[in-house]
Amino acid sequence: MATLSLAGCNRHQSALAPFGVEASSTRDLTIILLIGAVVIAVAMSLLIRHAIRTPGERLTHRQGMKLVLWAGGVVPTILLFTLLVTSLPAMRPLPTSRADLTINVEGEQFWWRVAYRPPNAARVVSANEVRVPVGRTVALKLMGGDVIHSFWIPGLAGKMDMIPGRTNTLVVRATKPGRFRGVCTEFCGLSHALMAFDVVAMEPAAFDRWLAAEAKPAAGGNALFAQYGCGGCHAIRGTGEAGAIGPDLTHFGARQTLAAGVLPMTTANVASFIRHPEKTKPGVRMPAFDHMPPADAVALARYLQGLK
Amino acid sequence: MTLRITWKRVAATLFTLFAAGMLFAWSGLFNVAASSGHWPVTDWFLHWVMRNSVKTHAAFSAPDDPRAQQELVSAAGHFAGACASCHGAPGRRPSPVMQAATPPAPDLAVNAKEWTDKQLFWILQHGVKYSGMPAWGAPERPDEIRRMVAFVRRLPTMSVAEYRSLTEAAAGAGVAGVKDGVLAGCAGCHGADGRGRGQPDIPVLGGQRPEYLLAALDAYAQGQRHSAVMGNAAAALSADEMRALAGHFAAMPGIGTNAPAGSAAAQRIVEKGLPEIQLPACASCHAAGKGYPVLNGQRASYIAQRLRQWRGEKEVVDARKSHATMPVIARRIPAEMIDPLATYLAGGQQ
Repeated sequence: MATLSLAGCNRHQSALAPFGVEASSTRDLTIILLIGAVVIAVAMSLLIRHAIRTPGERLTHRQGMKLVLWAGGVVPTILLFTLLVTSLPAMRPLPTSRADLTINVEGEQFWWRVAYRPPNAARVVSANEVRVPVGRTVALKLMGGDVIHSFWIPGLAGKMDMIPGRTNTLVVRATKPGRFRGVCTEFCGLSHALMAFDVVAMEPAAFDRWLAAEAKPAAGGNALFAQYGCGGCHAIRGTGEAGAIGPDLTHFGARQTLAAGVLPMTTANVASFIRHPEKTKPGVRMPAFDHMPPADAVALARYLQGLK
Repeated sequence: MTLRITWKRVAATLFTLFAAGMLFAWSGLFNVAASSGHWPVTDWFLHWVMRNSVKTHAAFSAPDDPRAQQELVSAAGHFAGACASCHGAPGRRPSPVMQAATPPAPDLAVNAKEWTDKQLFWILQHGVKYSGMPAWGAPERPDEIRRMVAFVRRLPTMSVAEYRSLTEAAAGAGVAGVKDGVLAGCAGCHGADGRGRGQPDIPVLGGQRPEYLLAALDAYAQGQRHSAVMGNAAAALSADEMRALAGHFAAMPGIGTNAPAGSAAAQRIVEKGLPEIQLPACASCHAAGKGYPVLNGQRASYIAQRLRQWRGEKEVVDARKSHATMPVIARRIPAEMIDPLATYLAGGQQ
């Protein structure tokens, strides 16, 4: 129970505060195991206490062997078998159908390339934020873009590795709306600890509206963005800037955090990240743009924040 | 009478000697005047220590290829601007002011023969304590030191005419706001036409964006861009002179007119980049209308040399290297593509 109360510490990123089917069953299993472990530990302690206090020769050889057989063989076998049977269903992935939404997530040093592939509609590219509709089954196709990463939304499901050259599938279903957080859980470089992302579980109708808006191109281009060559790596759909090396920035301003869940989305943070990303994220793949005058960086940040 | 040596007496003697030494130093009786020179024995001892130190350290830490093969102009220009006032040069006596130092700077026409290339490299790189010889102004530029080793090696046999031809070029018409002597210093290496006198290590300035040339001069003067040669030249310029010179050279004909040509692989990097290894296209920044330097038609050897400098030593991990824009991008270019890329941007010529 003490462990359970820890869930209150962080409702956004905790396996003990689930908002998905798989995380709920994991939490339930954890509670069952915890209770079982406590019961067994108490029973063992009582037995040992009893054995120490009892004078010798109370049991005959036959009785003793019988006790060993039941307490050491039959009962544990039944217990473990029961546990196995109750936990096996949790290992089975949720069933999916062709009508389910698929989301491709690719781990990169040190951000997430996200592409929504709704059934019967074009794919929508985004980054560093994963949105899921509540109550619908979603298949997450997980890949490693450069090195091995691991994808974990503690409140939604278990972790799964992202391995270059391989696609791992994680099927999830959110059960309540809210804003949560996911992290990389496989050491992937200098800024591994600074590789997180926002997770937003939305009511299905709101999700559909959001996805339709996310699919739209940006409102307009920007002279500074073009002049500084940002489009060599970043795409802003609808402006001719189509770099695919770094995160897609088409709806950058709609995200609540910057630099993969690391900084709050403020103009000052965006401007300083553009000029010196390595100060926030050591080893980041984006080079510094310290030749950019700070005033230009602020103007560029304002433009990017306006991309809702 | 016998004197027994005890620990106490040894300690007392050592302490007395130390105290006497400190008293002498405190009194100021020791004469640090350069005008009086050294006693011959002191002079011999100090030089003996210096020579031994250079030989030992050069043997261990100087590179195995300490001397460049050609490219003497930039080293000669730096020598004329930074070294000749103390050391003299062919046809030029050292300044009497600097020769009044203790020790006076040696005549390299004689002295250079006493050292091997590696030793010269070590002295140029690190300088010599208590002698007035400074360390190289940009430790990041061993290529500059190599060229200077080659130049110093040539000094004993260099004629006055040869020295003049290396350091002087007709400056052409003057520039408003810039003294003729300053412009002559620029033209000595860059040529009056800004084409770099055919030197592989000197870029073509004509046709470059004036904003970029000005920013480069400023960065050299501030030490943000590493070069002892250009740092020394730019540090003496005022902001107005920098602006005038940048405009003067940028307005000349030079780069930016010829189309790139060469290998298809290089063309792909320039136009499309290599997204699979996260290398953006050169043209996403280096294109007309963008705020970056012009590359088309620049000297291939200069482009390749800059890219290699940005990549840095391969023994150093990336996390310890510069995170500025071009160093990060240059490190992603496949090593075997540097020369084809430079040749392509140069328009097919070396």
